[in-house]
Order: sequence, then structure tokens, then C-alpha cells
Amino acid sequence: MLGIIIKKEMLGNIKSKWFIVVSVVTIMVFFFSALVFVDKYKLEMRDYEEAHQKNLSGLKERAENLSFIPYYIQTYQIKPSVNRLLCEGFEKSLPNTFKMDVFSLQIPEGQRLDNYMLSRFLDIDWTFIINFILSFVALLMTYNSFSAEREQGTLSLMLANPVPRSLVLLGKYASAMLTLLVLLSSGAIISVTTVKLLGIPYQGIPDIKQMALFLLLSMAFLSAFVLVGMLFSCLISDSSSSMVILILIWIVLSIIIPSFGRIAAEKTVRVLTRTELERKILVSSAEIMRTADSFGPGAGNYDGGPTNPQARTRMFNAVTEAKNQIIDDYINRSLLQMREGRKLTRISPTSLFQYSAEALNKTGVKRFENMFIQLKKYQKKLKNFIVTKDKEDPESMHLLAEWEGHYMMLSQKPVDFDSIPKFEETDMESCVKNTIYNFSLLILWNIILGFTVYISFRKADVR
Amino acid sequence: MIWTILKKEFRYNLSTLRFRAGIVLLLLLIVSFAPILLNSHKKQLSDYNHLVSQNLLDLQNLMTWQNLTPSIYNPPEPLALFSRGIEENISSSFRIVLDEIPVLRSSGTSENPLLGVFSVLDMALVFKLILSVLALLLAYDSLSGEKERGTLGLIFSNQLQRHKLILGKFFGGVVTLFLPVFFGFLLTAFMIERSPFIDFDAEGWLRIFFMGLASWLLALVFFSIGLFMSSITKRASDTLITLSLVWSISLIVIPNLSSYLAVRIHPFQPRSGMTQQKQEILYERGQKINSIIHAQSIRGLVIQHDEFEPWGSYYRVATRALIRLRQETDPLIAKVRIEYADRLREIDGRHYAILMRQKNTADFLSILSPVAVYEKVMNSFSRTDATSQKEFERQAGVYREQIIDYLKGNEAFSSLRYSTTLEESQVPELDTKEEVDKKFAPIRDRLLETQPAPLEVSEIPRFHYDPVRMNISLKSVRSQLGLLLFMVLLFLIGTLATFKKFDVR
Repeated sequence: MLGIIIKKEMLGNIKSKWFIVVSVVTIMVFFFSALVFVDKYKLEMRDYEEAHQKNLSGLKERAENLSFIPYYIQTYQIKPSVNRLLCEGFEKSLPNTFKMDVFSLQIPEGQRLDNYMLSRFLDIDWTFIINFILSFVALLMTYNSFSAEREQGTLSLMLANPVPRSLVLLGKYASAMLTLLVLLSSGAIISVTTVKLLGIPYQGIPDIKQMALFLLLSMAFLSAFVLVGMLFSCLISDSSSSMVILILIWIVLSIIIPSFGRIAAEKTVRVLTRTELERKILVSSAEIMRTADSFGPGAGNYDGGPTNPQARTRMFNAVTEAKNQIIDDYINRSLLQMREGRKLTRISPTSLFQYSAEALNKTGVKRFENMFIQLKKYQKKLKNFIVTKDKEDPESMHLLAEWEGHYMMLSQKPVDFDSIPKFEETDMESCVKNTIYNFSLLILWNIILGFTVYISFRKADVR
Repeated sequence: MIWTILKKEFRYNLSTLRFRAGIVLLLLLIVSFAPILLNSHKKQLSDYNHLVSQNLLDLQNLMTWQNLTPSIYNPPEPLALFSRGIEENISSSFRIVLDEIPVLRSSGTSENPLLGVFSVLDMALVFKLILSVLALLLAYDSLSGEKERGTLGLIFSNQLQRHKLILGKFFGGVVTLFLPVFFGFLLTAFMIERSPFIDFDAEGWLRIFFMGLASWLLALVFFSIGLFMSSITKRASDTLITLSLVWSISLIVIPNLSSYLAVRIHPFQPRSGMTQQKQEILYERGQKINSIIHAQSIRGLVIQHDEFEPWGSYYRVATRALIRLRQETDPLIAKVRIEYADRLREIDGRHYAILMRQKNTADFLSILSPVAVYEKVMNSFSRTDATSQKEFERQAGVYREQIIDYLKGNEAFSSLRYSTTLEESQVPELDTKEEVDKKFAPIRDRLLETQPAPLEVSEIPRFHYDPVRMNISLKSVRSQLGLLLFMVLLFLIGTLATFKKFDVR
């Protein structure tokens, strides 16, 4: 019986005129998004490779003298990931360039050629299509699922047969979900094929397992909208009124609630402006240098007077440490601010889907955070390497400090280029916890809605 | 007759669920948005005041002229709560230095860049979403719906010309849609008026009035599109589907696509090229400065003890040779730095020209979308568009000139106070290594005991930002407002033309 209902419903959907229009549009958007993705990916990969090669050649040049290495500023970019096809995670607006030497990591910058004169435009990835197009399609498919049948009088006919109401409900739900799945997977196939055909360097297409999980997540999200549509179709007898209400709800859930994030973020956590940050660093180093003598007599003399390199090294290291502390705080607070902003927007399934998609695909802010942590580790490794190598040289004074004039205090011997640690961004450990958290909230939405639909349909007046 | 139809349509619209739901949602959203936006403005204002007073405090503690590098800040624009525009993309502060002329920068370097993950929230978002949907919902079944119900046939059995029906329906919509716009803006204005942090002058209110007008116009564009679609489709549900496609295309697809295409049509010059050109100029400048320094023979030993002030370091103690060198070279170096700032600006100017070309292309491509046109109008009236940002940049440049003129006028570059707090009599005359080793430390210790007085700064020009005037804003959106009006007329005429042949059965 269920099979018959599903079949009938699906045929009804697929044969309708609007469904054909919507499918064509959806698939075209998928195709277009793949084109844009490949185009951008190639550009970004080129930039990334360029930066990478530059670091290597810079290090190679400096391998002739150990003391040059610590002062060499390396520039790293986040490696573009193929998963961005699925979920870009706003990486376009996040900082992607990290500069570091052995002493500190500068505040990451977004070194992209962006036109700030244009208002910010969204990237059309799969997540976007699902969030803004397919969710709407889900509503279009269900807004009249009961009310239309009630208007035509077929609902009471159907229920006159020995079919339990729950089965009718399930049939309608399953058919809507199946139709959406067909639409989504055909779009996905078009998108992947396009990427595959155009070919992107270095990496293939996203992992199949990854895509399957993503589709599962998307269906959980779309299911919430299907249920909302069915709910209002039960509650409101006039189908055009239910459409009106649904459009308004869609606007609130998909556009309005997610845009509260920024203000919530700015309200809960205060982050220093760049000017304030620079000032704070300057003040802290001035403070330390003012009390130079506490690091040993003559620590503050650079060129004249009796110098004391050991004390001066201690002083400079204290300055570096204070600076790094300030930068770390800044980054952590920035991250905290962003997270606080996202907390509130979790009421909307659209935001939940966005966040879980980011976590699942390992894109977005998480990636920025990961890069920062990995570079810190690398920095430590490089420093250890220099200290150990320096110890092997009896002629060196073994004093490493963040001041260009101090390179003379280190070993002047060449090092083997191959032995210098190099940075390679390792794959992120997956954010299972985060994905599951957001996913279960989505499921919670589904359960509540499903239950409400069931209750209201049981009591619905079918005449 | 038109009047009767108008009255009937107006009453009918008011009684519909969609109109009531729409207006309730609009007012609800305004009530919840406005306090949040006002609060955010309050926070921006307090941050701004904090930064400005900090800057003033630093100025009052200024020790040497070389470190006169004040920061200037773009005061937060209260009208931005209506439309954020590109305000958030652009850094709102400049540091005034000799080396560079202020140039608009992306805000990525000035605040928490991670907030880029959030989309923008402003009043224009509410108005454009709700008003466009409301207008479409009022219009979608006005012809096809009557046809389905069979009332259209009844109407024409009376002596009524077809165009009168359309005009009646249109003006009914004009009056109906006036209500949400009027009450929406009235409510917003009321909430602004009650807020103690915003105090608009007549111009501010006039700007808000124009924004209301533009919003009404946007609603009318969608209403006439709705009427048009309703006259060419047979069933109301078909109309609704078509209209939701039109709506999402004009709200999401066209604005995104036009920006994307604009960037592809006028691609950026590679950044590496720009950086390299800049580096070459900086290198050349470095060479020039070095040659100035090397041209001076240094008579004696160069020893210093530095101190920090808010905007940099300075010599607290320095030997005669160093002071002499600085006094002779500083005016020349300053001249070189100012001269090269112009050359660096040229490169930025070339980059900026590309940005503007992209922006103009994107603007041109997006004229197909009434929403994109509306956004431009709102940005301009909210003073958050490119014109306003450019004006801030221009005034910052003027301020820099004022500072330079002030320094030149006071002959600061060649004065002792340019690089050190020492007075003429205090400069230690230490020429040989032995003298330095023996005497520098005690002299330094003695000099450090006295606290030098900060510079007299009361006559340094202060920055005051004068925002873009109303007539300039109005001039820049003339064509956009005309375009919106044109769209209304176009679709209205389209409806009149197609409805002539409409089969009313």
C-alpha cells in the first residue's frame, strides 16, 4: 500500500510543469557552480604552489649560514581543498596567508584580490544550493499535499479505503524525500562529472564516502523543510494561504536568523581593533625595554657602552614572548567571538546545516584554526632544530633572539638543506564531535516536527 | 470606475491573510531588528569615541615631531542601520604618515576578519525581502485567480474597459503597498527617535524619507511584475511558481552573478606585479635615503639610548655626531619620503581603477534585478556606498597635507625636537671610543633622571570628517531611481498590452 502511495505521489510531482522548470534550474546551478569552482580552484592552487616554492627556495638560499634561517620570514597559504565544491565555508572572506619566522607568527591576513567596492557575494557551492534552492523546492512540493487533496475532495476518498492515516502521511513524506533525493543526486552527479571532465590539478574529486555522508546530512536538513511544509498543509485548509505562511517562514529561517550572527558576536565578545593591537604590542615591548636592567646590567645597550649580549638576549626573548602572548590572545578571542555569534543562529536548521556541512567537509573557520595550530608546532620544531644545530658549533655564542643584529651570536656554518624541517600542512583530524552535535540538533528538529505533523494529521478534518 | 475598483481592491487586499501576515511579520522584524542595530551602533560609537580620545591622549604625550603619526577614524554612520553597504568591507581608519597617502583598504586588516562568515544584517534586508514578497503575493492571483474563480467573466459582463480594470488593480496595489512602507518606516523612525545615541538633523530625516520612497518603488516594481505574470499565465499556482523563480533570480542569482562576472571580465593584475612595483619604488627610495646619509660625513661616534612614545621611538640620549647627522639629513629625507608617497599612490591608483571598472560593470550587469538597483539607492542614501568611502579617503589625504604643511611651517624637520627630547646644551660631546666607554653611561643615567616635557600640540590641525552632502547622494542615484520607475511602467504597460488579448473564460 505504501508503495502505491509513494508511486502515485512521486508521479504527481515529477509530471507537474513547475517541477520540470525547477529541476532544470537546479541542475543548471549545479553545473555553473562546478564551472566556477574549477576556475577558482586552479587560480588558488597556483598561488598556493607559488608561495610554497618561494619558501623552499628562500630556505635553500639561507642554508649556507645557519644564523640566517631564524630571521627568514616564510609565507604559507591554506591549501585549497576539493571539499570546497561541497561547502566553501566562507573561506573566501577568511584570512588565508600566514607569515612566520622562528620567533613569532604574524597575524594572518586575507591576501586575496578582492574587490571591496563590491558588496560581498556568496559562493554557490552545494551547501548554498541546498540551503536556498532545494529547501524552497521542499516547501513547494509539500505546501498543498493535504490541502489540495482536501480541496479536490480526494483526501476523504483516499481515507475511505482501509489505509491507516499514518501510512498516508508516511507515503507523502517518503515520496517528497525521494523526489528531493533524485533531484539532489542528479545535481551532484552533474557537478562531479563537470569537475572530473574539466580536470583539476593535484587532486581528484572529493571522496565518495565524503559525498555520501554529505548527501545524508542534506537529506536530514531537507526533511525538516518537508515536514514544515506538511505541517502547514495540515493546519491550513487553504493552500495558497499555507504557501504564503511558508514563504514567510522560509525567509525567517533561511535569511533572517542566520544574519543575526554578526551582531550577536560583536555584542558578546570584544576583540581589539588592529590599531589597538599594534599599540598593545608596542606598549608591552616598551615596558619590558624600560626595565632592561632587570635582565642583567647593560641589557638595553645596543651600539654603545658596555654591551651584555646574554642579558640582551634574555630581554629580547621576553619581548617576543609577550608579543606572542598578545597575538595568541587576539586570535583566540577572535575565534571565540565568531563561535559566540554562531551559537544563537543555531535555532535555524539552515545554520545548523551550514555548520555541520563545514565540520563534515573540514572547511571554513576550523581550517584557519587548524593552520594556526600546525604552524605553531612547526615553528617550535624549526626552533629546536636551530638550537640543536647551533649547539654543535663550538664557535657560536648560542644566543638566539628576535633582533636582526643578533645573527652574529649564532653559528655561521652552513647546514644541510634536506635536514631543515619543512612545513607540510597535514590533513585535519575530522571534526566528528562538531558534526554529530549539529547533526543531532537537526535530527531533533525533525523528530519534533514529525511528531507535530503526525498529531495534527490524526486530528485533521478531512472534509 | 477606476476609483471603485481601486477601493474594492484596497479593501480586499487588506482583508487577505497574506497581507496581514506580511505586515505583522514586517513590524515584528522591525521591532526586533531595530534595537539590535541601534545597540550595535551604540557599541561602534563607544569604540570610536574610545579610539579618538586615545588618539588625542597620545597626541598630548607627543615627544618628538618624527613620531607625529596620528590615526583618524571614520565616525560610525547612524544611517548604516538602514543599509550597511560596503562600509564593512573597508577599513574605517587611516594612520597619517609621511610615507603614504591614505588609500582605501579592505577591512580584513583592521578588525576581526573571522566575522566574514556572517552575512550582513540591516533594515534594507527586511524591507527588500518582505516588501518584494508581499507585493508578489498581492499580485499573483489578481488576474489568474479571478479567472479561476470565474469572477473575471462577471466583471466584463458589465460595461468596463479592460485597461480600467488593470489600472484600478494597479492603483489599488499602490495604495495598499503604501501602508507597510509607511508604517514600517514610521516605526523605525520612532525607535530611532527614542534612542539617545542618534540625533538626526533635517538632512538625516530627509534621507530616511527618500529611502522610504525607494522602498515603495521597489514594492511597486514587484507588484507590476506580479500583475504582468498574472496576465500571461493561466492558473494562479503557475503564476506563483514563476514568480518565486523571478524573485529568487533577482534577489540571489543576479547580484551574485553580476559581481562574479564583473571580476572575470576585468581581471585583477596579479598581486605579485603590484607588490613588485611597490618594492622597486621602495628600494629606489631606500637607495636615495642612503645616499643622503652617506653624503654627510659623520664626525664622531654615533651612540644612542632610545625611549618609546605612543607612536614610535625616539632618542632620549644621543651623541653630538648622531644629532648633527639627523638634523642635516632629516629635512632631505622627509622630502624624499613625501615625494615617493605620490609614486606609491600612483600604483594604488592603477589598482583602484580596476576595482572601479569591476564595480561599474557589476552595476551595469545588475540593472536587470530591481533588488540590486534598490540596494544601490539605499547604500547611497545611507552614506555607505563607494562615493562616501571615497570622500573619507579624500579628506584623510587633505588632512595629511595639513599635517605636512604644519610640520614644514614650523620647520620641524630640521629642529632638534624632530628626533630627540634633548636640548642643545644637553647633547653629550663624545667623540672617541674611550670617551664613550668611560662617560656615556653616567651621562645617560643623569639625563634619564629628568623628565622632558611633551611638545606643544594645541595648534596641530585636528581631523574633522564632513560627510557627503544630500545633493551628491541624490545625483548619484538619479539613474537608479529612474530605472525603478521605468520598470514599474514597463511591466504595467506590458500587462495592459497582454491583458487586451486575455481569454477571460
